[in-house]
Amino acid sequence: MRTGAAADHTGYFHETAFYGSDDEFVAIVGPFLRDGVAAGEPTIVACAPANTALLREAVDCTGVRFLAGSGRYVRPGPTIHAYRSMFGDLVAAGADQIRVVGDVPHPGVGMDWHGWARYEAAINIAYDEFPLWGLCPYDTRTAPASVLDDVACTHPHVASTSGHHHSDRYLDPASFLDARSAPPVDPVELTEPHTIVLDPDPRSARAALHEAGVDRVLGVTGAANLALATSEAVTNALVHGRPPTTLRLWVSDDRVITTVTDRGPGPSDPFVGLVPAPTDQPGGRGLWIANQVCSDVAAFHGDGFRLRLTVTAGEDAP
Amino acid sequence: MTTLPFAALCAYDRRALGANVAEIVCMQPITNEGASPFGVYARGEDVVGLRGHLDIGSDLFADALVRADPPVIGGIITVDATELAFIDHRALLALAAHARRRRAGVVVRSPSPGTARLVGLLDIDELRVELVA
Repeated sequence: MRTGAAADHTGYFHETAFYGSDDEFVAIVGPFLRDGVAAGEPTIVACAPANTALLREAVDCTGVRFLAGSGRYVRPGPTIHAYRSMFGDLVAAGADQIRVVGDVPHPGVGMDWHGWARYEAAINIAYDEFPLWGLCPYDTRTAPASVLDDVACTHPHVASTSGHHHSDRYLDPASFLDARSAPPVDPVELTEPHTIVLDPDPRSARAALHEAGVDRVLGVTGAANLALATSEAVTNALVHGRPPTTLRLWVSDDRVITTVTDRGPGPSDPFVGLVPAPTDQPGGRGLWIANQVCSDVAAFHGDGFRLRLTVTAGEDAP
Repeated sequence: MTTLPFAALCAYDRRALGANVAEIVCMQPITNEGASPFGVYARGEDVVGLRGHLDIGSDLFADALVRADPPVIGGIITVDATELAFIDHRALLALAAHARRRRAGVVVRSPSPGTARLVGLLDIDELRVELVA
């Protein structure tokens, strides 16, 4: 039986909290943790180091499981994959409810927000098969106003020191994602490409990466990851897009970027790449795989479709 | 025959076979350059070998597996992928589907950490990768 504010809820109870002081953070998160442990629910903290230290100091954390927060939220795709795997295991072990509090990164802590905004919307779908109460606190001292706006639109529930409330600003996740502006352009993309391949097939795309020596920048694993993702992107363009298809490749000192462009409209599913395809469905995994193995995946719709894949040196997929 | 001191050269006339030649060539361990992007062939008595590139250009792979009918030993199909340059998730799923029909698991011996990673991501019960040097 589920407990607390999510007691009568089915699926994912996705809640945010806006706090403006350390005391307020502890006052909201402390009871969330204590009540979870008291109910015998798996109760998990995936916060940044400073907030983790605050909780350890101010709250009796006996029975609470701590994840390395900054490691958990490295990239949206692997984060969803890792959480889904963990939730599945906990439910299989008999959990009636799982509680997780996590610090989702944003520009206030030095991380790009575009992908994490998509994450906050997509997990309303991606985690909804689990009896999960997820609490995503945001520090109003550091999070930019634009981030707080997006947070209000992606969380159906809001916690505060006065209780738990429905968010009247919550948007259907698909509508939120559809309305997102294009991802930021990488400055490297504005330079002359190292290689352009017209009408590539997956094999010629992999050969182009090999000939460009991307392993010298990314190492063997990073180069293999980019080859896999680029191969999937070209396959998608050939199967689902419209010709002509063009592969462009940039090699910088610390990262390698490929873009695959075709004249089609691109995928219409706003969750594609973030939410894994059902296991009995033959397609829909290429972009998801790209999101698992790349440092960044960005989709640009407009005059055709362009997928940008970035692998950064030293940032091997988990 | 694969364990016997025997070599054979099979020549096929493209003029006679047309596009169908690909279905035959992909069952050979060695072919002339560009004849087939991949190959499925016996490697010893108990192991099936894969070579080449298994991606969008390998839609004959599932049929080739049926024709090769790799042996199931102790409930396992053993695949030698040391000569395989690349395998995508579609081909891995085809391999898993074949194993499921044969009520078997698959062990893929591969030197590629990327293949191991991809199998891990796909979370396919039937497939396991053994990393080999």
